[in-house]
Amino acid sequence: MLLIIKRAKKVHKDLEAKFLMDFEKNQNIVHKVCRIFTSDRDAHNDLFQEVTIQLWKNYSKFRGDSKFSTWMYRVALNTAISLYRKSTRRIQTTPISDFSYKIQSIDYDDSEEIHLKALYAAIHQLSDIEKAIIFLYLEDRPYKEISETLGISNVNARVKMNRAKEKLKTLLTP
Amino acid sequence: MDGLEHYKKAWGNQPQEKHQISAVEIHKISQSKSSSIVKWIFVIGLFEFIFMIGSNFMIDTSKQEKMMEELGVHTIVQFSQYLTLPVMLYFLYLFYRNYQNISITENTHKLMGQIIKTRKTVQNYVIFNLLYIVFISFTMTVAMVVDPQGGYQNAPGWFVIVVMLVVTAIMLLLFWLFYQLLYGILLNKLHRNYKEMEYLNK
Repeated sequence: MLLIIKRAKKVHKDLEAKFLMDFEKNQNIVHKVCRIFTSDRDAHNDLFQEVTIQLWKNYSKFRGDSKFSTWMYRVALNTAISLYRKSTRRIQTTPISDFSYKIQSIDYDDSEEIHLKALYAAIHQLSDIEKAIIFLYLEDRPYKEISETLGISNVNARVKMNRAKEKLKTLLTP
Repeated sequence: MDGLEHYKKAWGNQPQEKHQISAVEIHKISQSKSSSIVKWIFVIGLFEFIFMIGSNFMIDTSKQEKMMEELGVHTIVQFSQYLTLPVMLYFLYLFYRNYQNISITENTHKLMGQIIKTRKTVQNYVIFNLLYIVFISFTMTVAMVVDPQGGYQNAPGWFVIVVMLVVTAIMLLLFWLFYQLLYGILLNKLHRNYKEMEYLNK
């Protein structure tokens, strides 16, 4: 009996270690989702916490038949769209420093920084579903994955994508 | 070319969070308590069931029972109360099953549907209870009007009907306002997003 408990504990620890490693490596996906769905640092931390809880709670169901990052997109977006309500809870961790829009590419270009700022401002004006679609487009996810993540047909994903892009372009045009 | 290439390039080149969350911190965060809508729906739903069941025991109904006995409707009311028990158990079972079916790893559309379905189970249970209140009011009104002693406590029939109608309407209105407020705050965003998804899938 003791052996079974010991083994179960080890399995749990191994699973947790793997989760933490996978999460740490891919955490920027969650940060980006938080950035587009919230507009201040407290809300960002709040949503980050809820996504983390949901990811860990469901990690045992993650079978590895898709990439961890693909699964993470789905859980993070689902949490932001359907589960999250801005709450007053505040987490007690080292605060994540404010996100700056400084581009870190080799061929550093001022205009990219301006583009990124404008892009975030425009995305904030979209509906939640449009935000999700545009986010997946910017992340270069294939249509098949977009339609499967959101639960819409491939054709509808394309139609909605084109509309969302048009709306985004209008918002980006001064 | 769709006119968004520069923005997409800027997106791809955007920096990572300056201070990445360490594995230790991720572990700490993952152990904290969720405050998701689903959890609230479960807590509120359970509270509603407990409240509805508890109100049957906690409220002193001896006066009403005496009145029902005088009107000769006590047996029918008591019998109907027994009948509500299996209905309540059925709703409780449905609520638990629907709650268990909610899965964050489903696609967005399906997940929203599952959440709304769970909330609707509680809503239907409340509607059932409200209809039951209407049924009791109706039974008593009829009994008062056709009371062989010439109207309950000598009140004319039309007066009894008006009073019972007003009392029932006020009760229903209060319940309705309470629910609009409670679930309005909780689920406005979800309903809006669900409508958009439904429209997309048309």
